[in-house]
Amino acid sequence: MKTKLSVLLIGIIISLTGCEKYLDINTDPSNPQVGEAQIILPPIFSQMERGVQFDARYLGRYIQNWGLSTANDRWEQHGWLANSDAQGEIWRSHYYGIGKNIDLIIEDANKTEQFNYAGVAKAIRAWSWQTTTDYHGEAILKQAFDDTRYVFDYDTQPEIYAEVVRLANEAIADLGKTGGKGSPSKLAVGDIVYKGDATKWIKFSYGLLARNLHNLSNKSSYNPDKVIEFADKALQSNADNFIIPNGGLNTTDGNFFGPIRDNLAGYRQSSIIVELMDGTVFSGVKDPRMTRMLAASADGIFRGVGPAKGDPNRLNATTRIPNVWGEGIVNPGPGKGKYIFRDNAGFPIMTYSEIQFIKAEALFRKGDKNGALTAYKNGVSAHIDFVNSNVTSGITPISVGEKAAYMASAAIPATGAALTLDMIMHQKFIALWAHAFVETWSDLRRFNYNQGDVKGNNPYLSIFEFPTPFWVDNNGKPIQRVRPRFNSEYVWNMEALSKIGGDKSDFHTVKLWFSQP
Amino acid sequence: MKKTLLMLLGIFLFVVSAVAQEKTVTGKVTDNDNISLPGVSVKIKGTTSGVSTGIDGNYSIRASAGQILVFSFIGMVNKEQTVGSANVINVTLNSDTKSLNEVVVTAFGITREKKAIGYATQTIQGAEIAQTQRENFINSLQGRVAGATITPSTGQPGASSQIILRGPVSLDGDNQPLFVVDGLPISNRTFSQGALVSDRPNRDNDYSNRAMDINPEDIESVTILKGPEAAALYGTDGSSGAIVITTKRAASGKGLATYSNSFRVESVYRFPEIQQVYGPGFFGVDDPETRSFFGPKFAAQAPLYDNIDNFFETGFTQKHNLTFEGGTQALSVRASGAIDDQTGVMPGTGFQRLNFRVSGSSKIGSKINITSSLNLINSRIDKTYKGAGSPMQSTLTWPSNDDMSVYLTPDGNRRKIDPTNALEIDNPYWGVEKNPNNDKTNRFLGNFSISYDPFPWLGFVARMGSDIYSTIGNSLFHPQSRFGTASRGLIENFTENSQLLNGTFITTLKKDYGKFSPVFRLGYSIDDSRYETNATRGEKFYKEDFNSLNNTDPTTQRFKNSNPLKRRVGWFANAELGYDRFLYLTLTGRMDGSSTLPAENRYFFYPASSLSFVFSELKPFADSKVLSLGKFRASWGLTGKDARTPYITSSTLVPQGTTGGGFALGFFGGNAALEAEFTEAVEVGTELNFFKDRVGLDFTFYQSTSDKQITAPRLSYGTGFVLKYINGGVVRNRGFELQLKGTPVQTKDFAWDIVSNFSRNRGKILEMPAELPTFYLSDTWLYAGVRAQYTKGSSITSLGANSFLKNNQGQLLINPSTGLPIRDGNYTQIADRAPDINVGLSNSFTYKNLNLSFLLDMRKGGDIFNGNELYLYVNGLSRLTLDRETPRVLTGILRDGLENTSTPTQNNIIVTPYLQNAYYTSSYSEEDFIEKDVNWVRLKDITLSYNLPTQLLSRTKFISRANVFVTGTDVFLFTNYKGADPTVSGLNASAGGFGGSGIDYGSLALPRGINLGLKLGF
Repeated sequence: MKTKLSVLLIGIIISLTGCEKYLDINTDPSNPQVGEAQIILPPIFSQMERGVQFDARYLGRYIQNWGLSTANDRWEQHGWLANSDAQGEIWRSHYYGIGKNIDLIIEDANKTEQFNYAGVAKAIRAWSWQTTTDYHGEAILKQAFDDTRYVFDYDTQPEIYAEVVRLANEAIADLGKTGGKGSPSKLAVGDIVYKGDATKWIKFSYGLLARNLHNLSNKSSYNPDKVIEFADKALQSNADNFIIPNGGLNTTDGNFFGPIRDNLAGYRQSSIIVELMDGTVFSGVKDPRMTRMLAASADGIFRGVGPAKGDPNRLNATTRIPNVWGEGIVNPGPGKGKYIFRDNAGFPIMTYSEIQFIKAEALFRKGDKNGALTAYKNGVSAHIDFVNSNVTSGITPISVGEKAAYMASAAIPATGAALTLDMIMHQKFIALWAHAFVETWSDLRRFNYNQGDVKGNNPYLSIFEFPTPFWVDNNGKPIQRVRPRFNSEYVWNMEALSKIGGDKSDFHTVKLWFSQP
Repeated sequence: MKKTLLMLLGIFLFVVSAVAQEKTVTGKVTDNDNISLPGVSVKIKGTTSGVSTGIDGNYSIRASAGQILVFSFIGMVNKEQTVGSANVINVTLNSDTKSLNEVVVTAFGITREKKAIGYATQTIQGAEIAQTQRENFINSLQGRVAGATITPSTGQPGASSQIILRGPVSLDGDNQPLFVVDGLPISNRTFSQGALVSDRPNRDNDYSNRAMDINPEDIESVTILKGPEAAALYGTDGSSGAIVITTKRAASGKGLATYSNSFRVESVYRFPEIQQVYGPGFFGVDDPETRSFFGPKFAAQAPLYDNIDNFFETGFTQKHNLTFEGGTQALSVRASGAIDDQTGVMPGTGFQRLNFRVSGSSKIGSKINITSSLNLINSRIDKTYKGAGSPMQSTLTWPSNDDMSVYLTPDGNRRKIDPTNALEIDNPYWGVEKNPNNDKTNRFLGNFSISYDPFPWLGFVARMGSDIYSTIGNSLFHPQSRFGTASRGLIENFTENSQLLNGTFITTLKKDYGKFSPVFRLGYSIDDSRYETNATRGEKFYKEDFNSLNNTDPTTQRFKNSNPLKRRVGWFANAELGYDRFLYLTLTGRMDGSSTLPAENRYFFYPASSLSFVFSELKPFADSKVLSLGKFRASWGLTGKDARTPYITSSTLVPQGTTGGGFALGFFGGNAALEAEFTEAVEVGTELNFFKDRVGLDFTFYQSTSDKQITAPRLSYGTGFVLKYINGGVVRNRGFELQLKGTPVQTKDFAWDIVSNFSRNRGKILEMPAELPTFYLSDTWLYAGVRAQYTKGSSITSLGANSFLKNNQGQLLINPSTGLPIRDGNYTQIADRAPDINVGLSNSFTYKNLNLSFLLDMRKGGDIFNGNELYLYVNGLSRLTLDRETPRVLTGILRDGLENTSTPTQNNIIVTPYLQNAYYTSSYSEEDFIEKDVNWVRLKDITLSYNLPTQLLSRTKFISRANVFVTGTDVFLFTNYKGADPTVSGLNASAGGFGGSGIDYGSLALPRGINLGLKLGF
């Protein structure tokens, strides 16, 4: 009996060791659980545009890039919707869509000594922090992605601004590194934006530094020289534009703003953008970009909606404002649409034109008006070219003559002395319209919308109108920040969020650090 | 004293027989119903000689006067007759209902005497299940099994049914029991839409639960194991209980053939009720192009159509079942074939199944026994979509003043109420025709077992089983459909290839030492399961009406592969220590190893113990004429559970269809520190039978506490994920089960049997995982703001929803600009779907050859979300909107800034909903559509059957038994529930937690069926 028992015991031990191998099957055969940098990078680009584009539906109403055809919209009134994930997509993209994927790239890049991939990952994360904090203000920085935590404390905006600087500098260092096993061709496999060109990534990183520093224009520490220096090292032409490509073949790889995704049927161009181009603002000068960017009513006249006012003619087929796709108020169907509202239009994350307007403003603030005028002209000219790169088959590009005429018009002053900050900000509004939503919003907040900044500059006074009234929770104040995502923070991290005031009904009107003196 | 006397008598008879003269004894063996029993073993006691009865129940044997003939037959009480002077001995065998001799099949095909078992079990005879004529046998268990909650997804053919024993334990995972056929697990999986390219939440489509493939006519019995010890034997899969099915085996003897059929008509008789007073429109203004009904009253003479009634058809089902069985003691074979062909009550729906099964057993010598079975199943289900936008829902909102059956425009396109609105939901006639939706399954179940008993005290059993099936699913939305417009036609297909392989090896040692009768078992089991799914999807049809993926634009074609593979090994030891036939202690220990846990936490051990004390074996009860069985039982056990989902110890990169492709981390964060979760369960119970088992009571109280379950709650995105796998939470389930049985009348010709089951379960969340403030299941959030939601202290079956804002005095707040209440965006716990008590009551009356039996399923309490009513309400179709022209002032406080002061402003704004449709469309509170304390009484099934007299049959020479029957299923429903059917589910059976039970939205009610059939034995 004893021997039998020991035989049995030995049998169990043998089968146990055999089991180890038998049970070692816990890796997914369908999907990888470990990934290389080049396979993780491509979807991150679409996450970058996803966050901005999803939330642009609401943010575009705050900043009056567009509005709804119906009146009294809460977002146009600078309001918000409780218990909803609307406006929470940048949060989602930053922490989830881009989030830890960046760590995976950096890990793999360090392991395989592909420093250019590490640099790219850091540059993207720097952009994501900048966008997230400009949009939300305080965010989870130090405890983010900590595997051992279920709740997370918030960090201040200056800490996040510093993190952007740190990451951008690290990115520049990594991208400039020689040696290792990285190569442009290896980077090109995953890099569908700059096709493996590290120099463009370095320019993009400087562009981020320029944005980051320039946003602090109200601070006494604001240093225009440093901004100009960064701008000079940033994007040099439209060829350096950071544009995320969209395949446009189906609902998954189509541009969120294109007809195939069908997200903008209810949106109408704002009166600001119409007035900036139809001659109302620029002393009667018709902007050649208008017919290429905006949509005319059936009677051929360009109209726009005012804040929370809707389209008063929305029931009139002749005078109502079409949606941004430009063919009446219906979806024109896949493959149609105009400007960057097309299924396969790329989505700009940063353009040379924007950098030039940043530089123009910095030079203007510094007092170098001639320098500012040059940058201003570069910005306008580059954006006209950008528009031309986005015309569809049915639309004729802006001709050389048209462009030259505009560049010689009253919209473009002949001398630096004639240049105003208003002009810079107005042309920047056009150039950034319908893509650089967060950046336009930062500009508006720096100047306190139509109230003016600490130096008394008030470039939006003549064009930006507050809604009347503001949303009920606002206590008469304009929007300053978007609350963190409901189904992340309000439901699962409320305690930490309350500490920064997220439980208050007017939390969205509390000014961010960056726009304050 | 009695025993001694008997022994003396025996010796005396033996002596007498030794000198007696041998002669031929003949006779006939029949059962209580006077039906001849073929294959009955007739043996002379104390010798090896014996014969079997023939097809007519007759036997002939050489025996001497004084010898004892022993008549034995499975399921009958053995009978002994002493050979006397007569040459003819006719015997009637009684069905074995005596609980003392009852045998229960527990884990791995281990049969144990019921009295030795220290936990609750319940056995249902296969005949009773088959008699309900249900295609999905699980539906026949509702009301028959104490503590089982069965939720059919819809009343459509092939619908899945969810079964939960006692109560849900897992917050978000599967809570359904393990299904075991002849000792080995089979799959009861319901395809989950997570494997589709579109990764959908199981709301809009249903797929069968695979246990329904089993032919009810092949089931000998079903034993339900709920206790912790039962689970300890089956390991991690048995932690939600086990449904142990024993299939029919051939009896040795002369061959026997049976044929049975059944024909059913069915119709659905309960619908959400719509108002037919007000017509389409808004604000009292007619708008013939809307499916909202806030317009003026229909003109008095306007022809109104009963579109709903006209749409539904009478379903027809036929079944044919043929069985052959026969063989000798050494080799016996049973073969069966069954055909089911059903058309449902919705046009275009149906279910077809072919089921072939062969099982055999053979004895090699006296020590080796081999049994095996093969089962082939082929089925096809044609179904319609359910839930939002489904044909069921569309029937409700098609205007009554329009003939819905005209579903095409003159040029053959989809007819819409608003011709310009491509997103209008499909006309149901058009939808069922143009949006095909079907599944086809081929399944192969094989089971092989060999037992070797070298010594009376030592035995080995080895079993191997395979369950291999493939389901091909096809669902399509026509380019003109509401759901196909944007994509210009959409096809979504999948092929699920499933494979379960398992084996067990058990060694049994048993020997009696005086009054001790110990049994030891050592076992080993091994399981391998995989469900590989290839899903495809394509859009933009070239040809409008062509159902093929080849007909889609290649640039839209997508593919997804998923392949969850799990392996487990288990070792278990089990000791049954019996003492003097009245005290039984069972100790079990099990160690499992699972592939789904991190390597360092892979093995986990859990013990269980149970005690059965049959005090009726002891004095003074032993001599009691009143108490025939008295037993007390108690058990305690831990159950370990691995991660149900494989590959979650690290995060997975999922493919992205966005421009540039590649991989990105998925929603779920993996966790390399996961460990097995444990449930501690205690159970006490008693069985008391009185008056020779004429009256019986079986009571169980149980409590189970699950600690640190593996769950995937939503967390702050600061984790880097949307959901994250963690160990956490404490969930406690408590309840009781009571079964009362009785035979109030038993005479020669008439018998009346009653069985009733009562059960109650309360599941409570004692601790939330990660101390989360709340945890909701997004799949259950299928309409408005109602969703399954957990908070600390809440019920595990609770629903959360929005209600109206109130002030600090709890008074309703009113919007000062509209006079309407304001919806509160917060989710509060507002309902508990668990009933106060479930009751199943079955009665059987037998008069001579006639039997009438029926089962009532009753429940008291428990809340249900009447989503259909809310849907009708916001569309102006609910009868609750009929008083819309009455102006009213809602009692409440204006939200004007003074609402929380001591001087709030009373609302005085007059609202006339007829003109202010927002009263219905946006100022509702989900809470008003939670129906509280829903009770019901449903006649689940009723059968009247008649056995044709044998005298009549004997003239045919070849028909030995014949039975005709009428069976009604789901015949009526009495309920205080205002909707159509409180039992159906908003999801399908693949949903986790408590699933879609108690969420009534867009599902078809259970139809009433009337079956007529015949059974013949040859």
